[in-house]
Amino acid sequence: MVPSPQSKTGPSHGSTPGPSLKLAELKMQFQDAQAGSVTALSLAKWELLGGQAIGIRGPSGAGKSTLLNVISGLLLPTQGSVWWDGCEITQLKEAERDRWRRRNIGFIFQDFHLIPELSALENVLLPLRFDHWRCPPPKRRYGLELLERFGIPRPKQLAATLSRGQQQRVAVARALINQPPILLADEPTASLDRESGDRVTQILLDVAQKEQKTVIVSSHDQQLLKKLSDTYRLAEGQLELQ
Amino acid sequence: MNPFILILAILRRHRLITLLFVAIVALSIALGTGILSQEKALRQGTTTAADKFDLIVGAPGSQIDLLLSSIYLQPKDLELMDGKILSDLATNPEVEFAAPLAFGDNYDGFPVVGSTPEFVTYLADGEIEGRVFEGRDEAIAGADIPLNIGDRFESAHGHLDLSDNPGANFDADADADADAFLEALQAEHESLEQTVVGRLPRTGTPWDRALITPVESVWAIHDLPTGHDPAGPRAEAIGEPFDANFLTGVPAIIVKPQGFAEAYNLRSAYRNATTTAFFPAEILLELYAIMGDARSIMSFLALMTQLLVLLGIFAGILALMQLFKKQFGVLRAMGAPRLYLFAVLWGFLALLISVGSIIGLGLGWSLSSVVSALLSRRTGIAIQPGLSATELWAAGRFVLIGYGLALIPSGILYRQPAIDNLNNS
Ligand SMILES: Nc1ncnc2c1ncn2[C@@H]1O[C@H](COP(=O)(O)OP(=O)(O)O)[C@@H](O)[C@H]1O
Ligand SMILES: [Mg+2]
Repeated sequence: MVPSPQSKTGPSHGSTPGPSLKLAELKMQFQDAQAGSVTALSLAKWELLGGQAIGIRGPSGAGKSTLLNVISGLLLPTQGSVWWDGCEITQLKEAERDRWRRRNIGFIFQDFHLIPELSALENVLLPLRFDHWRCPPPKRRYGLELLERFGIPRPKQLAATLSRGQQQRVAVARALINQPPILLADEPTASLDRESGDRVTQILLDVAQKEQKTVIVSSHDQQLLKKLSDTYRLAEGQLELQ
Repeated sequence: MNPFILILAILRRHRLITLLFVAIVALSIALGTGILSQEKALRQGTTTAADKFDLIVGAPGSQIDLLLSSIYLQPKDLELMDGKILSDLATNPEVEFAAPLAFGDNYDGFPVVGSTPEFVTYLADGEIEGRVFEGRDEAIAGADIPLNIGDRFESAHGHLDLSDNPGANFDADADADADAFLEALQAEHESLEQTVVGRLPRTGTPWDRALITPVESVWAIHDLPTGHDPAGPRAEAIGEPFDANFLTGVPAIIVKPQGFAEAYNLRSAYRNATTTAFFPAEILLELYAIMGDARSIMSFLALMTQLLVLLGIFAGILALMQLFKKQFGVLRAMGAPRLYLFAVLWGFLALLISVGSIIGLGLGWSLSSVVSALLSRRTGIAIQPGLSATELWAAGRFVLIGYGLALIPSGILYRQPAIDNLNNS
């Protein structure tokens, strides 16, 4: 079994920084009916120190989502490898990758993807259901705490009835419930108005700073990008620091 | 792992589809269950109703007609046997008693059957309320006859179609021609007022809706010899012994043999050119075989329906999976193992099938109860459907097949790569 970069239980209050990322000889190609083979990513080498919060920008279709999917292990690259600290996740079996992702990654989507029929709290606790029949009480308390911190006054409220800004904040809480050392966010503010977007940005930055998570955010949002330590531009499959 | 929270979410989102699926599963199970349970109930009811009738002797012809008329009191036109056969049987040492049945009269739609005191005693099994008739103007009422002991009634000639609505009065407007005909008949038919002197316990047979009078009174009303010498000391007597010289033709004789061996002897002795004799059970078995065949065909059709229902549901589910796809992709991104998604979809389907089947069993039982109640009303045979191992197994088989088939969409989902699910958001 591959060692997980961080113990999955104890909160990561600034003690250990999140893991570092290394991509090598990475290529991601899609087969397209008309265009034939489309190269979405082509990265000879890219390294990222642990505990950093960085942004990735680039025009639509540049491959930002594809990159996040590859580094989270959701998508296997056509070639090359993805290393998180000592763990080469591209070598893991599918079930192991699922488990690795569950322990190490919190994913935030542009469209929140909450389950509208469940309450805010149930959505936050959902990732725990993959492992547990009953939700462990400390986790439940942690979930309530996150919701309170993120300004969701009624944890029992149905997700469908939350405002969009609230929904994304619930989604962030859900991404954090397992206290993952890595946070990936794919255009987290793109579907929100300015004010809600800023609030989500603030939450992400807080988490990144306080808990030294490795945070990778794809975004067009200048307000968000300028607060991150580095921004990379993704174009023609290549990443360049700006 | 706890898939229920998501199963619940799917149920909430697709409430209508879920209801629809549960409903068609329930209906198809109800159909299968109803058929099985109904057939069994019918078999049990008719067997029980025939319990007391060991051997029936009648004129050669349709044994089924004889059976239907004498046990189930369904009016049939029966040939008559020579009356001497009755006195022969009555004096046969192998016979405990032989009771003639005389049909054809009714009171308010309820059949009035002529027979003997022994027969009444035998049917009553010692539980008669009041007493057995002792004179020609006395009668015994079945448990469901709306007359009390001491009430008087006058019987009318003819068998009404009692299957329709016993108890309903002749309605003058209903069918003028038929009324005129019946009146003409009644004119020839000396009427005799009779008094109810006893009531039979409930038997769960059509006899609960019959009146039994001394056979002599039926014959007398029709101006037939009464089985007794009108000049002799027994001119007004009822029951055995009958005088062979004064007996008229009888359509059916119920024979109680002394024992098992005697029953077989009698049956072969009276199977000849002038009479037929049979055990009701033999004929019922033949009928049940036919019913069983019909049941098999209907059960087969019900099974096919159930398979079609399953196929329909899974076709629906495959379409639904397109809707689930993105949601499931998101779950994978959150680290959900494939087994979890598999458990959610399979659990959802298994729940639909299980709940539908349980409702279907209840529905099938209710269906068969309603049909049984209607049949009981029509025939007077107590028909009590139940849920036995047969129906449970039939439903269980459907459930197991359903669980098995549910593996297909769940398996497809299981094998899907995580990202396929997530794309084009
Ligand atoms: N599953 C797929 N099949 C085929 N082409 C894909 C697939 N996923 C992404 N692509 C292509 O890869 C490129 C990058 O897409 P994406 O990562 O979604 O871009 P971005 O998120 O930056 O808008 C696009 O040209 C897109 O059409
Ligand atoms: Mg994208």
